[in-house]
Amino acid sequence: MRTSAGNRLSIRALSVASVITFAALVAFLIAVISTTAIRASHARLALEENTIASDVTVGLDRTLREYDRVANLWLISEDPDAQSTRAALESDARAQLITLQNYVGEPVEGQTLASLSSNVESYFQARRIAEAAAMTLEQKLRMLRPAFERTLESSERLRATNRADRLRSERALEAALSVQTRATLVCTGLLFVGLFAIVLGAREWVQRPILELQGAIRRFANGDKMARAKGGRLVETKELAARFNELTETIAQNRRDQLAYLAAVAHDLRGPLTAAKMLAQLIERAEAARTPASFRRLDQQHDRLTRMIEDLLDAARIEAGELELRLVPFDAREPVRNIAELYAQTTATHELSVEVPNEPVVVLGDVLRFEQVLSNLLMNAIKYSPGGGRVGVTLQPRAGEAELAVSDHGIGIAAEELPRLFQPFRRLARAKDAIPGAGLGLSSVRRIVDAHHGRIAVESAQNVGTTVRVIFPLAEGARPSPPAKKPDAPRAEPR
Amino acid sequence: VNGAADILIVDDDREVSAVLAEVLGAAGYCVRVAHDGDAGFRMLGERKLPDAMIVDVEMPQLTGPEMVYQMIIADAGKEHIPIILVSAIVGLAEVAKNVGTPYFLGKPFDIDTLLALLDVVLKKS
Repeated sequence: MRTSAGNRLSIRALSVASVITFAALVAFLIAVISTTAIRASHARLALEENTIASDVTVGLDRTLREYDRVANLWLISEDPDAQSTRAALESDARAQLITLQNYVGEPVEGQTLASLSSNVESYFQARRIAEAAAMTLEQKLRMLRPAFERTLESSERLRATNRADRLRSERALEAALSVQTRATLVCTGLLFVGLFAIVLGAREWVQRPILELQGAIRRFANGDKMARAKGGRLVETKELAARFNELTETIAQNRRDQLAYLAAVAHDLRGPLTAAKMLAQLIERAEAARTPASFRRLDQQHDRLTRMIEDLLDAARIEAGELELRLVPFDAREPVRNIAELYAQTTATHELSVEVPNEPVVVLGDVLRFEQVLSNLLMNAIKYSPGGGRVGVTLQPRAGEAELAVSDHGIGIAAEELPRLFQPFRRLARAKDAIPGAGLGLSSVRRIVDAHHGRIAVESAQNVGTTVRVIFPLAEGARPSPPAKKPDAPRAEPR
Repeated sequence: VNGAADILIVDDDREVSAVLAEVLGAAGYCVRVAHDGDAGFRMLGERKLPDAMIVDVEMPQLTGPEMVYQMIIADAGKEHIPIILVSAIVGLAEVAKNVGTPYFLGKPFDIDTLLALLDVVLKKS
């Protein structure tokens, strides 16, 4: 049962596809989460740096104001304590400026910081000039004011830049986090949808056909011989159902064959039964029929029945594999001649020709079974050539083996029948309604030949004839048997 | 009464046909025997047509039913010969129906039954 090339949907393909899809989804999810996490952490870092920078800027502003106050105090009081405090504040301011250098991000920020630095330096410079100058205190203070204002202004500008920066960082962090949340939600959703689809698909395409098959098997086991399974849509489940259906079909066919065989056996047994019954009735009512010859005929019918039943039981034993061989070396020419002669007497329309070599053909086998094989083949040859004609029997040694061939010019065997020829309980379709007899013959022949480690081959053409060749092993010691006399005819030479 | 009645037996079982011929001969019939359908059909043309035929179903050459079909095709009176189908096959009634004869007898049978049936058949025709 082949599915069409366009429909090769298999469990294997589906599972590979779903694994690939899931792996891709998970990889995408990991990529999204990690990139957004990196972006978020960058934004968080920038935010932290901004916070530090603005803290330092606020500190610088405070330091500058303190410095201005302390320096003014020193101008007024010339207190040496104030002088040392002022020097400390000055180096503090410088340190804070250097610290701020570390947190410069944008170029604008750098420029703002540079102008703040230069303003601070020029304010310090202005301080030193003013202190050294010969001016009144008020003049000095007024001279210093503008430089200090400028310093504060540029400090204020830096703080504004920092605030803007901070706002930007906060927004970036927010954006990164929201992208991360959305991507995670979408991917998780896709994963769940995929899982759901797989569960649904498995139910519909895998579970249901399997349950159906299970049901069909249960129905079949419970006696519904017509129970068949549907395969569903996948290659594997289709295959399972097809195998089951083939199996049930084979079992059904075997049952039909056996019933037909039983009917044929019953038919054949009724032949002698009919003759015996009529003979008995004839003897009973007709005075003239009460002769020893009539009773002998009656007895012969019983013998015929007994023989048929023995043959049947023998065939049944052979079919059951209970075949015991008594292997002895024997000259096969003798049984061949005897059996052929026996069958020549049973037919008026056939001409039996026997060809055997002049030297003995010593076969290692069971003589009785060998005779049975030849009988079966001859019976078939005569039965299946109802028009009569030549039936040939040849025996010849061939490459260390003995070949026995029986050929006829009968109805032949159709090519489609050949493979089933050796099945038990089978008769040829064409022969069924035309020729009486059971079909156990060839199956038994094959089993006997197999038990001898021999071979059997059939060549046949319809309405031309059939040749069956059986190979038996030669007896080991007898193979190089010295010819009793020279063969006088050119035939049956082993090559 | 029916001493002159001519019966043709067609059966491939030689023993059965021989005993049958004896039984019918003892009953006063004139009997001929053929062992397959082909021989039976040929025998029809040899002498005057028989008054009845006893025909087996499964035979070599020509089966019983095939022989009957030949007779119908040949006609010239052959199609009117009453036929008793006699066989051990399963479903004989079906075969008889297909052949178009109302008379059939499953093997093995009683001589009395056969003689009674033959009597009926001959009286009807």
